Amino acid sequence: MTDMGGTVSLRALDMAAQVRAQGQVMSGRAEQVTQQLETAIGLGLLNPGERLPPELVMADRLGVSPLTLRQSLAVLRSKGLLETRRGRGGGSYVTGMLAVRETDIARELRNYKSSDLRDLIDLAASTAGSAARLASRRSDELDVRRLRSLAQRFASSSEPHMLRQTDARLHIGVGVAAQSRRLTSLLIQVHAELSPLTWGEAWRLEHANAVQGHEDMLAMIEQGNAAGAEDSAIAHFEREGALIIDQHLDLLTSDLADPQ
Amino acid sequence: MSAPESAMKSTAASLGQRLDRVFADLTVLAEKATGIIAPSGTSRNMLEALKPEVARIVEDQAGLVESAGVSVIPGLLDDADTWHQWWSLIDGQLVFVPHNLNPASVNYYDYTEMTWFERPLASGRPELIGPYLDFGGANTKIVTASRPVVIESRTVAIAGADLTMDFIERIFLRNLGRRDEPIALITETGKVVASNSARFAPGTRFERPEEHPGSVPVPVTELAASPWRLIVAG
Repeated sequence: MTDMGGTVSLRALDMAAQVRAQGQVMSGRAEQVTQQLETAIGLGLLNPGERLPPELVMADRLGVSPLTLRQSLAVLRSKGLLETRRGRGGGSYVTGMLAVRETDIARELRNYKSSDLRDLIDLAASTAGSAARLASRRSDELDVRRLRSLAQRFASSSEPHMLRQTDARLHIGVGVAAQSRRLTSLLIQVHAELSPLTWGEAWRLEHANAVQGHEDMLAMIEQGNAAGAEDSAIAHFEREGALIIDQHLDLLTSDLADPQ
Repeated sequence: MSAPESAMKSTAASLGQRLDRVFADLTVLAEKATGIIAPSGTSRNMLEALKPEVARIVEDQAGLVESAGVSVIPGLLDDADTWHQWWSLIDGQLVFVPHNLNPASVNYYDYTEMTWFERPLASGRPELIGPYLDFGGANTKIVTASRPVVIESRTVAIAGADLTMDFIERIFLRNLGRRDEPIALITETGKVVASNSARFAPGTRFERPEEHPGSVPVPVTELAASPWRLIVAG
C-alpha cells in the first residue's frame, strides 16, 4: 500500500483523544487508548493508508506514556488495524477497517442498562438538533456543499462498515458547520458510543429512510430554517434510536426467557 | 381472557409481590429505627446500628434494592439538624454514602424537600415514588419506596429503599415475555416505568393514559391505592 493517505493530523488525533469509552469496564490506560484509537478508526477519524505521527508525539497527544502507547499499538497491530513499516517513510500505518459484526453489536447492547441507552439516544438527538439549528444559521454555500458531499458518500455506501462511518461523519460534520468546537467535540463522543450499535441486521431496511432523513435535515439547513433543521435532526435520531432500543429489548426479552 | 391480558395480569401480580416484599422489609427497618430513636438524646451515630438490617434487605432483594436507609426530620437529633443515614451497594460492598447536608453548598442534598421524604411524612403511609433522576443521591434514574418511622404516633423519620429501574424492567419483561403488542407500566401520573417498546421511554409522561382501556393495576398490599398499572399502549 502506498502512502496515499498522508499523515494523520494532530487534529484528528486530538479528536480521537476525545473519544471516551463508556459502558465497558476498562482495566487500564493502555486498553482505554486502544479503544480510543479503534473507535477513531471506526468513525473514520483515522483512515486506511494514513500514517500515524511518531510515537512520542502520539503519546503526548493522547496523554499516556510511550510504553503504554506501544502496548496499545501492538494490540491494534494484532487486530490487523495497523501495520508497521521499516525504512524510509516507515512508521505505523492504518490498514484495517472495523467490520460490523452482529455478535459485537449484541455484546455492546448487553453492556447497556436500558436507561443508560435511552440517555445516550436522548443526548444524540439533542446534540444533533442543536447542531442542525446552529448550522442552519451559520452555514454558507461552501459549508452546505461539504455537508451534501458527506451525505452523498453515505447515500452511495452499501457496506455496513461504510454506512457506519459515513453516517457518523455527516453528523459530526453538522457540528463543524455549526462552527461550534464544543458541540463538535460532544458529537464525536456521542457517535463514538453510538456508532458500534448501528447498521447491523436490524438496520437492513434503514438506509433509504436515513438518506431521506439526512436530505430533510440538509434542506432545512440550506434554507436557513432553524426550527425545521432542529426538528428533522431530532426526528431522525428518534427513529434510529428506536431501532437500537427495540433491538436491546429483543435481546433482554429473549435472554430472560432463556436463562443460561 | 386474551393472551396479552393474561400476560399483563401475571406481570402485574409478580410486580406486586416484589413490591410487597420491599414494603415488608421497610416495615422491619422502620421498627428497628423506632427502637433506636428516642424522643430526646438521639445522636446520629446511633443510627449506624441499622446497618445489619439494611445489609439483610439488600441481600434479600438482590438486584432490586441497592440502597436503603433512614432520614430523620429536622431538629430530631442532638448533634445534627438533619441526617440521612443511607447505605448503598458499591462494587459489592455496602457503604455509608455521605450526602452534602450543608445548605450553603451547591451540592446540598435537601432530602427534606424530596417527594419520597415529604409524601409519607404528610400522608403517614407508605408511598412509591418515581421514576425520577436522583441527582446528588444515586445519580441515576430510580424508584423509591418509603414509609414513616413512628414514635408515639409522631413521624420522626422516613425509612426508604431505592429500587433499580433495571430490575423492575427485568421483572416486567420476563413475565410479559412478549414484544408483539406495546405494553407499558405507568404510574398514577402517567409516567412510564417500563415498556416493551422503544416508543415509550421510561420516565416520560404517557399522554392520555385514560384513553387506553383494559388497564391492569399492580396490586400492592400496603398501599391504599395502587399507583402503578399496566396498559396496552398501542
